[in-house]
Amino acid sequence: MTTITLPPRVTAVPEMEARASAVGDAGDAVRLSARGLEEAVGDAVAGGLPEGFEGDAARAAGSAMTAFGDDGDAVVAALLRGLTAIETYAADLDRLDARRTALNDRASDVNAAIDTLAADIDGAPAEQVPALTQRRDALQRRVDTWLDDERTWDADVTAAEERLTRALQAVDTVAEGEDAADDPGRPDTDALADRLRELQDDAAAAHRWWESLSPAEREALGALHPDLVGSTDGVPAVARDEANRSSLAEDVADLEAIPEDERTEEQQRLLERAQAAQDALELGAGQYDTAAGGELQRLLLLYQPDSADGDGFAALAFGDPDTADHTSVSVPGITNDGSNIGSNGEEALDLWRAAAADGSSVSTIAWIGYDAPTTDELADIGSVGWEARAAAGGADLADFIDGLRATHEGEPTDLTAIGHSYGSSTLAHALAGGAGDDVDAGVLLGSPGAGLGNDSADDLVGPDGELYVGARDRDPVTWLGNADGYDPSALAGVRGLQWLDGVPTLGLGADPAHDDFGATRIDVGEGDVNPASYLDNHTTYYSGDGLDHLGDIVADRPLDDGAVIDGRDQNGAQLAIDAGRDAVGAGVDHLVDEGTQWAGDRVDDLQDTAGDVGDWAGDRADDAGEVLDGLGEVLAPRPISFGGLL
Amino acid sequence: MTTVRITAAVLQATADEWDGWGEACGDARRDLLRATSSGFGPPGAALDAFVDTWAARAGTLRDRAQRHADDLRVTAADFDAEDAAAAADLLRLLPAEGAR
Repeated sequence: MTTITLPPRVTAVPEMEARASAVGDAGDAVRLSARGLEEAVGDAVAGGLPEGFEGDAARAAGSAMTAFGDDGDAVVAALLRGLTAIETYAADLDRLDARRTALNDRASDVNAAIDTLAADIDGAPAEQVPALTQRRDALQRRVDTWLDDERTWDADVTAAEERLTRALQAVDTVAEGEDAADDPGRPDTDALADRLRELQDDAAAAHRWWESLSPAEREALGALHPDLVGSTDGVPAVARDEANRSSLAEDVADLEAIPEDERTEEQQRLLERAQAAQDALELGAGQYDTAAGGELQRLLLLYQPDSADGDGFAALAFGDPDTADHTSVSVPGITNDGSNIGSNGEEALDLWRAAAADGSSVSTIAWIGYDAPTTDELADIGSVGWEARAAAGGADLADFIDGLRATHEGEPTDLTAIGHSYGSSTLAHALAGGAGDDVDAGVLLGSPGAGLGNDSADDLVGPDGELYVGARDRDPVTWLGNADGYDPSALAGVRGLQWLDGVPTLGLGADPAHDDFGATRIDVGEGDVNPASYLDNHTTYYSGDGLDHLGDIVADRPLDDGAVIDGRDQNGAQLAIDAGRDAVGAGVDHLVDEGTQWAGDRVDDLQDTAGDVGDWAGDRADDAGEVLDGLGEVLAPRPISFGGLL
Repeated sequence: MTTVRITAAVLQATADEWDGWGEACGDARRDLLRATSSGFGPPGAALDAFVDTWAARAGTLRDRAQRHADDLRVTAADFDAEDAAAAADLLRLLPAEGAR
């Protein structure tokens, strides 16, 4: 009888005692502390003596300030040293935990193979012994390799722990802090900040420079200049997130400390935007990211609550865009500002779930980084530059996309940019301005126009890119874009009018859903027939089948059969007339309220006019004026302005 | 000879500045104490020692700034009192109204 000795089963590696998230939280606390102290002692040193203070007492006072500044600076230097070590440890733990997971996966495979071999040996005839022995030997080698790797992993854990311990012990006395402050190799954060400001308009250069910094320089810069680091395109997403969270935590603490009845209006606005960002960061908590092998990361890529005259900017990513295989950026329309990052974040999270449903590696970003017109400004829309904000926002969006390209690790990510409503016009400007070559796909949803001067999809995306459009026929905002052959000259005097090629237009350029434009139109439904639902028709593109299609586009999956539909062959006036007819046909005119009664009235008028199709065509421009005027009443009823949906 | 040239108002304003710095140091200390060693594993003890040292130092700076602010306020008050006494002395030296 021959005995084949099986290799021993391997034991799964237990979870580490240390957790990267807990270490990261401690790092956040140290960062916040270092920044607060630096501001205090910096003020003390820079403040100097009061004007008119002279004599011996003035010298004594100056000496007190200097001593205070020096002593405080030693604390800052020590904290920054410690912070660098702590953040390095957190990154080590992330890597070690990923290796542990991989080891355990291999352990399961090895143990399963041992069990299979044991079963095969049991009762096997003698002639199979050589083959079984060979399998045993191969399995033994796998076990030995696994054990070697496990020992290496264990040694690396110990090394990481010891590195942190040594680093912290090197700066845990006052004398050591003073040495750290005097160290000639200490990062000059002001000089570093100046350099980063110089590179702010060139994401690729900013990224190269960032990568050239030492960990200590990065940590010091992020800790002491979080607003700069958090808003610079080209800085990696994780570093931006750390910096922005630091600013956010400081804002919330400072502003909440002020009694509500003592806050100024500006402070209250800031606090609302800070709290909106804070709440948004809770979205997706506990969501498992299969591709990343852990909880879905939420990264605050932009936090500028006082930008745009207090409207505020914010951007939130679900999944790390620097490592994801597929990345999307969603741009909202007018009236959106930093206070809306929650609702925009929800849409981005829904999109992430749709795109990552099959385990794809995905990051979706809600980006509110441009000064969209607000409701108040729409009351005088002509003065705010109807198209100008989209153009300026497009340039900022293009910079942000440049940054995503620059910071992505490994193979380029598959990048999709999505604009909704006025944000689609903003996106169109970004694409036409150069970002079209940087994206793999662009999606215009509920668009009032693809931007003046953009006549076709080829104007927006490169030869390898794809432009998609989602437009519901009963979304009145999508009636505003021009269609080829449509003469809107009858619209003179309509609020929001601007000029396109010598003729006035109410929208923001060509209708990208029109067949002539050449985009791929995806099926997002037609929208509810009831005019009272037109607002919902416009604001719910991130839902239903439309959301599924968007998820497929973001994850670069083939679209479902029927997902692509024909482009429009009507202009806006015709769509409005059709929608009105549908409303009457469905018998819903009695449902509309006073403010939307226009639909029935207009359709009555138009039915008279359209009695003779030939005559109707001749009068189309006039009808269009009336319809769109009526549309204005619907979209600008009390108190929603005409542009309130864009 | 020791010389001083400053107004009580400037002293008061400077005291307010020191108050602000002291408060900032106190906030920094509070923030630092949130760095707990839970979830650190074996290096937790080193983190505790690190935090203890610098939280204590931040507290010392806070106290020093607040003491300095208090001293400046006392000095400002002394100036006011001395000004009032000097004015009273001066008034005594002037001829009484109606005695001319």
